[in-house]
Amino acid sequence: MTRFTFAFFALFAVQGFCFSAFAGSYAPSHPDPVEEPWRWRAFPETRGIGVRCIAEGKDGAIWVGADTGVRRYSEGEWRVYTQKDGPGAGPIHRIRVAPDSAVYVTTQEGVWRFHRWEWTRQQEGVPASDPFQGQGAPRLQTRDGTVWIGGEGCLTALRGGTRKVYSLTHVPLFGPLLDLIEAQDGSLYLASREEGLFRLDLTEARYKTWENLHAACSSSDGPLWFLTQDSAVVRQEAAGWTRYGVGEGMMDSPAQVVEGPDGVCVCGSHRGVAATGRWRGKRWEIQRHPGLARSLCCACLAPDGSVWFGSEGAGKGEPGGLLRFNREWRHFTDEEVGGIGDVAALASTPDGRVWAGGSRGLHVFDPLRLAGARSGQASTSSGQGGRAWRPVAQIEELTGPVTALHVTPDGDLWVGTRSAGALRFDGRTWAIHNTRTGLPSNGVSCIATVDSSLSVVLDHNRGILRQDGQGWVRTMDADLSAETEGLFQDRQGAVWLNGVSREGQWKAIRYQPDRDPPETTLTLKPDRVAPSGNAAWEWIGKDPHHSTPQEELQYSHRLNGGEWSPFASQRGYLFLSIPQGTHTFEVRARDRDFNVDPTPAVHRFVVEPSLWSTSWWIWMGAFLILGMVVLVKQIIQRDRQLSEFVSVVSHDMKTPLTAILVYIDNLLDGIGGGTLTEKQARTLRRARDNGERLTRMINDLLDLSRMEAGKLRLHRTSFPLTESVREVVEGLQPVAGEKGIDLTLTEEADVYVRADRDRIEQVLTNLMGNALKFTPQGGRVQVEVRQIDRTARVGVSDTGPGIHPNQQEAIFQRFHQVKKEDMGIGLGLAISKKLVELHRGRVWVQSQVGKGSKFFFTLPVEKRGKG
Amino acid sequence: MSKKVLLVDDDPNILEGVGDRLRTYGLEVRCEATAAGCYATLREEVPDLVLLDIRLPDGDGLDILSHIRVHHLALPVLMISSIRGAEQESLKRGAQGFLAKPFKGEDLKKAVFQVLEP
Repeated sequence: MTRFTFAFFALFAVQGFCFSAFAGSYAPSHPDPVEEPWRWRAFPETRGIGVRCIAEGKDGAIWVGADTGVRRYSEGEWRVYTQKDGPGAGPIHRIRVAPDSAVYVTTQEGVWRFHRWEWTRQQEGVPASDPFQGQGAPRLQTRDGTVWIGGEGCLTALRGGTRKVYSLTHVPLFGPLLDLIEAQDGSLYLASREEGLFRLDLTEARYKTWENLHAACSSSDGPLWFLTQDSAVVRQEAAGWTRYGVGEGMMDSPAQVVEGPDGVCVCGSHRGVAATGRWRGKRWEIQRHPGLARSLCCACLAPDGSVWFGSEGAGKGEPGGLLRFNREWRHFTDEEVGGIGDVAALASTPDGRVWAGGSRGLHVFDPLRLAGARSGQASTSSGQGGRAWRPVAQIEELTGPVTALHVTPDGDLWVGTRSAGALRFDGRTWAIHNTRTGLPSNGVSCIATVDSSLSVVLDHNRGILRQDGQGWVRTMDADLSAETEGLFQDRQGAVWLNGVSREGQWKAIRYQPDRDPPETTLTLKPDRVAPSGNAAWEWIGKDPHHSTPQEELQYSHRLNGGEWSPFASQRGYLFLSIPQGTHTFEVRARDRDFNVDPTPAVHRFVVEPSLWSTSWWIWMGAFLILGMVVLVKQIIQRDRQLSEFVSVVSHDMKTPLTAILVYIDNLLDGIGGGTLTEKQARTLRRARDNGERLTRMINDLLDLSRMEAGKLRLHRTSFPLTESVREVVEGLQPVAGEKGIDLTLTEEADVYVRADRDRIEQVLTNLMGNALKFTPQGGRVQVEVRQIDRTARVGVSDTGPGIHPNQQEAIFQRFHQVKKEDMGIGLGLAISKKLVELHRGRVWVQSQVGKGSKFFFTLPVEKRGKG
Repeated sequence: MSKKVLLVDDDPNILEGVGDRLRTYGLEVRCEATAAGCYATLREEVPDLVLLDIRLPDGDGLDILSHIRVHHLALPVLMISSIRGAEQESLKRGAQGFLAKPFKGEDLKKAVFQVLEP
């Protein structure tokens, strides 16, 4: 309670005083650009080549003549001209550019002319004298009238009668300077024999530095406001610079200038006490706030028109905290705010909330809570403020020191912290940007919106980064050699950057982003891509006036109007497996000021279809298949026709054969005629035998043709195989007896098979008939029936001549005859083999020439419940 | 009284040769070369046995067999054909026997008398 009472006392004890003194003029000072290291650029490619002379072509290319030939630098690339395509690798004496844009190069051998990308030799055999022998120091007069003289590791400038000698140790540039030129863009090129080519950017259009100043704000009525290192406020407007020091009514230590609802406000300290000030058009109205803190260091304007000030350096008995002015002053003590400590940054979001960042984290003020408390409890103590302010404690990163606060035009709040990165609050959720999400450092010193994209300045001169929607990009290459303290974009679009050098000197740097987008050109573009769909593109960008060096341009590409790739510095891309068809490739460049080429380089190309998807290939394939189908159909039809032919012919042959045999039989039996002589009867019997043989042949042919046409039907029944074998053996016993052959049967117990009995007997007859046929008189034919596991095996062995091993396969092929004088047409074994195979059995032969043969065939045994 | 046999075949040589042979067995043989002739004879007089070829110029012997099985249930039929595969079908349709052409004289005798004098 005592503390709140004290706070009230403090508020009403504010002392007001006014000065209406006249303002003084201010003379700003700039550092010498030659001494700003970041304005210098070395070209390491030229180091050690003995640079002798420099020239700038009409096209802006830089020509370098060296001990070892001539080189051309353009658009970030060096081109070395060799003996083959230029004056060779000898020392270059001089380079001159003619008004017709031709470049003349003088060497020991003569003069060469470079025009329209071609070298021609001008004077042959006239050796030129080397001007570098005994030549004095190079001199150059630049357009501003300064005379530059190159020396041994130093540069002398003569301006308006004064002479300044720069020792170029900070570059570093040692040894004698041999040539100096001023380029069209106002930069100076220096040739050092030892260190190569250097560029000194003397232009102020892009970067300009003011010493002893801190850019504070840009007010809506036009002027820019600065703080000076000697504790004054400076106003810059078209009319000039105006300084407001203590003598002009300013407080003795101004800390910040902000624009309030009705004019510019200053906060800081006066005579060791926190103070605020308002610009009243012609004079400053300063108010001291004793008993609060030593100083008010930051301020912000809330949407309701109130101005907030944050305090720092609260001593013993001083409550610290925040001060609000909205027609009347209101103090929120450090305790009411929730223990914020020294306030470092203030910002307010469009929803009316005020955010304060301090050494002890981020705190937020909700005006609705204060209003609610007021309407609920009339005229209570200032303790209500404690409810309106609260620390943002739910995010751990926000409990440490806060260094910067910024509200984007979209209303997002950005919080910069000393060691936890940057955090974004969109009104509902917090997003953290730190080293884990691509920020190079977690120490953030200031945050600002530059050209509608967010920029973050990192602590300890670690760089300025810009967000491009996909990541963080380094920007503004100015080397401050100092700690950066503030960043903002003024109403004219220039970016202001404040720094303090190691020696403690203040600097304000103005960076002027350009608005000219770069141009993008494709240097490698395949018009027709092979069916694999792999193709590479290469491109190059060019920023007008080279305001962004070529190597700093970034590019983004896309295929067929899809998503643009993230901007990257790579100048080529290899696409893999692009599908066939017509495609469009686009690439666009972006300079470091985020100007994107509005007319991307467009390239339409065709991925050729693969061979098998070309129309002629498809047609050929279709014809091939069609042809094959027709061919196969024809073959099948011809095969069927052949089978039918064989079948019809066989049947038709059988009819006359039947008649012949009937007539012969009738004659032999004496039907319809007298008796025959013995010789006549013998002749007729022979004719009948031949007729019967012809019948067998025809039947064989019919069987085979039917089997090959798949028309043979098997009439399977279950029968004992042994019985069938026995019947066939018995049926052939007379034939065996005639030849004196011993035909025997060895059988096991009944083996049942399920098969076409007639056909199996046909096979048996064939095998046994063959055995009897080839076995000589007095030989032996043995038949055996065995059951081996689930298989019945029939073997027929003879003591015939045997079959040669290379014939043993062939005998099962149709129309194969072992001997020409055979009694058949060689179909028997082929038919037997097919018949057995139709019964899922197999046929084979074991034979030894001179000893005999043994034919086997197998059949599956039928599963039977009983034997 | 001798048994009557109707011999149906499209080949006149077979009609002659087989007819002669059957007659020596003491049978009365009537020969027909067409299906139409066969049907006409059957309408006229029912024989004791029909020897029937399958391939006829104006019809199929198997159809005649089916007709006989419907109209002359007890009339025995012996099929004679060079189509060996037709044996199963013939027996299925009710033929009493099947003689595959060409056949021997004694086989014919055996088959005929097996049917006529069982």
